[in-house]
Amino acid sequence: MRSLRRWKPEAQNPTSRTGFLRSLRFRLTLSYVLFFSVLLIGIGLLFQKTLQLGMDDDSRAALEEEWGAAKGYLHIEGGKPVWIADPTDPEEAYIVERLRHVYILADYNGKVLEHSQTYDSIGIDSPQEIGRILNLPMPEIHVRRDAEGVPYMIKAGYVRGDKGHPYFFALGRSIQGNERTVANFTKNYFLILPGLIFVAGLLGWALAGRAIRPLNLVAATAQEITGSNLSLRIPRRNANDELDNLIDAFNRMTVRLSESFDQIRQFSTDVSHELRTPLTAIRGQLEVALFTAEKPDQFRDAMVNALEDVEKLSSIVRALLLLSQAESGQLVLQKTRLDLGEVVADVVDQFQIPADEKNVKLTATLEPGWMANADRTQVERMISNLLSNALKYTPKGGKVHVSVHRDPEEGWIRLEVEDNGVGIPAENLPHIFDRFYRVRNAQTNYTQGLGLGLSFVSWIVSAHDGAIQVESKPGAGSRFIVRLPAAMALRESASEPATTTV
Amino acid sequence: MRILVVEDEKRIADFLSRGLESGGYTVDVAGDGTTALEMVHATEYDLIILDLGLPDMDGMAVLKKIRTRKTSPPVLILSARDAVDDRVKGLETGADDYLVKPFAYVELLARVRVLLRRGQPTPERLQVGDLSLDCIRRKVTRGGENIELAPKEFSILEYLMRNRGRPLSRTMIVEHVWDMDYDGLTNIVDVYIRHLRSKIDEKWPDKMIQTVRGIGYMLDSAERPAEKAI
Repeated sequence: MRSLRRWKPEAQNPTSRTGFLRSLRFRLTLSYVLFFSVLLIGIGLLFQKTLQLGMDDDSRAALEEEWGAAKGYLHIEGGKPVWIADPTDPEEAYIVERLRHVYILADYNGKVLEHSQTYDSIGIDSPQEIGRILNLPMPEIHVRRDAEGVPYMIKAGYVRGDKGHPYFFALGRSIQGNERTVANFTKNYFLILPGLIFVAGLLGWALAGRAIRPLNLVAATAQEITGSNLSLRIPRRNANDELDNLIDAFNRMTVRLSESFDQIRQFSTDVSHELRTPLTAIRGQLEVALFTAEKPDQFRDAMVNALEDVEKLSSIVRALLLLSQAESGQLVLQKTRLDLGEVVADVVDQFQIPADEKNVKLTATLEPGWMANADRTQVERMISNLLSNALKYTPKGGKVHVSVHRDPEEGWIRLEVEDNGVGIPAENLPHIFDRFYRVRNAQTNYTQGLGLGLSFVSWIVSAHDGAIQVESKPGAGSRFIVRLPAAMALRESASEPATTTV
Repeated sequence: MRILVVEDEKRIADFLSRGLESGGYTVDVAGDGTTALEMVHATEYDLIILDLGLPDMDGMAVLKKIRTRKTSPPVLILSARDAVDDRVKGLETGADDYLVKPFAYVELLARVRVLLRRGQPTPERLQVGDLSLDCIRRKVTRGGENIELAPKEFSILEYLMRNRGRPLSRTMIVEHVWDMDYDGLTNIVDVYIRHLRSKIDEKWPDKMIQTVRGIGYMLDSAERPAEKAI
């Protein structure tokens, strides 16, 4: 295992391959900037509103105070306003002067009794307006602007004269300062806003870079992986986050790749070994005959032997081709409804002669009517591979027994091939379905065979959604059990089990 | 000369023993590693031809066991594995030569002859007819005349003279002189042999470097008859 610290330049900067605008980092930063812009603008507007409301409240409170004070100083005697102030007190005179800066006094008919100059500029209230306000239970506060656009907050209501008549009275106060403060705040805030957003952008860029760095690391490692360095792993960050999950998934993928590479490598080594051996024999026999043989018979022997080896070589090539077609999915199964018992009976028939020659007793117990959806050619091949395997490892005088019957599990058919031959040592059992695997022992030392038969059987069984298992005891024999799914209608005829000893 | 062939493939063991026996050697065959070790223990062999793919144990393990004995004969490995690593591993474990299947029988025979010659003392001066080679001073003379040779030419000539009368394959020459196994280099052997011939053979009526069809080259002098080639 080797940790990766060195980055390849092209892998370090993914934008060079993906385009800057499409890069994840840029898009993350952009969302970050957008989010911050909206947030900052919202906060600014909220502050502005709060500021305005607060200042308006202050102005209103001041106006209320002035209203109360004015009411205290103002008396209406005989329809004329009289401001009661101690003329010797300059402060009192100043206060009254200030109160009278923006004010109007009118009778209930709307006739103006007295008003200040500023109020003139704001606009004298119409008699209707005066009538409306005099009918209100409480004074009203509103904002009006003078001719120059200076805003004034005005409180309008009534005061009682000496005879108890109501008079329209309005008092105002400039709130230009408030407006200016809010405007200044708004202007300054939105002036620094682009700067804030820019800083947010930089921060976002840095954060996105940090978040993406492990991704780039994964990319850089993936870049370095070839068939020859599949042991490369990305070091975990031990943060147990999504990125660690990605790294784990990536590492597991590399392990699986490495395993299948090893299998392929092993397979090609095996193939080359299997092809070289007969080639060596052919070449050597012919050469030696050429150099040493003197009689025609010796040449003949060499040629016959060489031909046998050529035959062996071509059967290896044929089997390899078939296996590679099967495993790459080029071999399409042509499934039809088959009576498994019948198919087995046919194949067992074909094997009687070789069995007799070897003096092995071949018997079968076949229940007819067990139907399966299967490819006849492949099922026949499967049975003959199992049978020839059993015959090969059963010595003279031994027995091979084939049976087709119901599986204990509903919907399954069971095919068994049993022999009392040499058996398979326990340590070899897990490998017997591997390609080119041959169990070698004293009795079968010089045995021929490709070591492909059982791996093909295993492929056929799984292609039919079945399962295969093997039980074996060295010296006592082996039993191969193939389980295949039964076709829908379980048994067409429920005939009695028939033992066919052919 | 007694040779032990350790090979589990019957056909290959058969033609090896038939061929070697007709070449005048006594041949025993062992079908697995255990038998081979027993036979090595019981009999003195001059050479062991060892197949790496044995049924009961790895050929390398057999080789290691043979090498632990006090006196052990040269071992020629036969293997269906031709990866450079396998070859290097074989030679490091103590094999004297390594031949990849499928091999030409004549190639095997040439190697067997050279291996059987090993163990004999190597003289400082090699003499074939009027051609002499001084291994220490690296000087070559023919008929008293000094001959200048390039280093590789010298190595090839030395190898040929040491194995006087034995055919050497191009591959053997490449392996010996270049210390490598490049199939592409076998042509270069022909080029060097041409140079050697122009330097040591051209002016003399007795042409020592002979082409052996199907194998490679052999050096011998007409003054003393060569061993039978095959």
